[in-house]
Amino acid sequence: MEQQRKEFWVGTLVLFSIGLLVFFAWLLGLVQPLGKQLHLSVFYQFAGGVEVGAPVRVSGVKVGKVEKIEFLATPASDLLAGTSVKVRVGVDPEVKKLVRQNSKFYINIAGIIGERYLEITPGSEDSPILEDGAEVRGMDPPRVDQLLSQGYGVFGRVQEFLERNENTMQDLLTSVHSLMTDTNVILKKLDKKKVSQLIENLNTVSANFAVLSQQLRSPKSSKFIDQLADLVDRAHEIDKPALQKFLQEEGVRARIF
Amino acid sequence: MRALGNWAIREWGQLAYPTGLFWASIVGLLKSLTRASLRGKEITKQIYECAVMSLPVIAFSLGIVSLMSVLEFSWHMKVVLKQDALVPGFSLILTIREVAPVVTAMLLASRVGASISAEMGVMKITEQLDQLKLLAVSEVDYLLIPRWIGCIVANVTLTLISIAIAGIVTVFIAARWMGYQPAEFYNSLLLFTTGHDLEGALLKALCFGTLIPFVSASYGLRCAQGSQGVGDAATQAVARSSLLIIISDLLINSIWWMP
Repeated sequence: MEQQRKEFWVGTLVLFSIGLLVFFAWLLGLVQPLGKQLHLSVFYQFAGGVEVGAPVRVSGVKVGKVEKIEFLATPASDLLAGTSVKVRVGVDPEVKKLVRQNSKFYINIAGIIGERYLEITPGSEDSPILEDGAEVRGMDPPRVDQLLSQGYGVFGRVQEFLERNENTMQDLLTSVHSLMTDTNVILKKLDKKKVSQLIENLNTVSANFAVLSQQLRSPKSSKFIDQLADLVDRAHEIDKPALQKFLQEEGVRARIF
Repeated sequence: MRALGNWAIREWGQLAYPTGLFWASIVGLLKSLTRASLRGKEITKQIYECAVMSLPVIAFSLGIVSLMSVLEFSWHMKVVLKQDALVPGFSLILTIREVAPVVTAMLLASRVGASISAEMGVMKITEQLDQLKLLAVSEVDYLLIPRWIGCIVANVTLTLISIAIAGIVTVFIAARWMGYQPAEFYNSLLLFTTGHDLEGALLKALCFGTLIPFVSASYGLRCAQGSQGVGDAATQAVARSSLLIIISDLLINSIWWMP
């Protein structure tokens, strides 16, 4: 009886522990009893600090984790040229239909301690679903260190320029300041009513010009301009002898030219 | 210099003897497995003594340690970061990597290790071990292997239960004193913990479960005559087991988790 009681408790404890072990293993992603995960290889030139075990999210929801990171001696294909890191990820089967050929694979930062994670954007319906073991190109995260380094270079050159042209810049700033001050004084002296009147007049003139321009484009105006041009052409043919003859015939004596 | 040499020889002997027992037990276990002659009832008895009987004290201790660690984490994070959102994550990884395997092993060393050492010490001074030899029964096969299996099973099962208890206690504290909802708590619980951590905790449980019976038995089997000798052997067994647990914890940490 005593032995049976001990065996019962030992059996219970061992069974309970095995249950706990399976539960923990499932909770921590060591086993996936509910389905086969989708495994993808994402290639990057710069992995941005992502580590093994980092979460993988689709639309911001955790659906898997980074399983392995390895360096590449040569890229897997021409499409992946320039990449140097292969990040193998495991994704839950329930989101397989969302991970498509035109999905984007970003490395993002979350939380107050800057935890890195891999974000997958859902692909469009017309794009084919990625198969298990597919190789895709990830979007390299921005390199903050490079930006800072380039920023330092730009700021250095700006500083050098300012130091070299310190007097010129001071003169320029003084002139700009003076100009602004004068402009301000002029603006203060201006009578607002007169300025408004001036603008109003300009508006009226502009409107009149618009009407005139419209009238000049009418058929009547076109005819008048044509007649005027004809008249000028004919006037060109009137020279000094012809004019004298005309005046003499009319009995008019005049000194011409 | 002579004292140093004497100390080195003595310490080497303290390590070499349990190591010898360990190798002898492996050989004995393989032989027993091939002949199907494992002492099932004795193994069940040892698992019962080590695991079932130790469960209340270990569960209580781990609950208190988890409670303290969560409250301490929370206080420190509020001081430094002005918020304690990451406490569950920090707490769980500390529990899985360190608190559960080490505290469980320490408590087992003090409870079971002392018992093994004293039991074997008494058997030695009452010449029961000599009688076993006269009957051509190996002390390793008869006494050590059941205790070894019992300690390993106890350490692994109690470590897993400790992790579960720590999780339950931290959820309770988070809901009661830190204003968390259980779902919100679970969101950050697994922030830093991976399967690799669980594997490491199980590896530690296996190592510590092996270490405790052999170190304890080595003191019991070599104990001096009289009640004083048995007492000294039990004390030495607990002290040495605890020390070796800490050292092997450091070694496993540096191999398993360090880059």
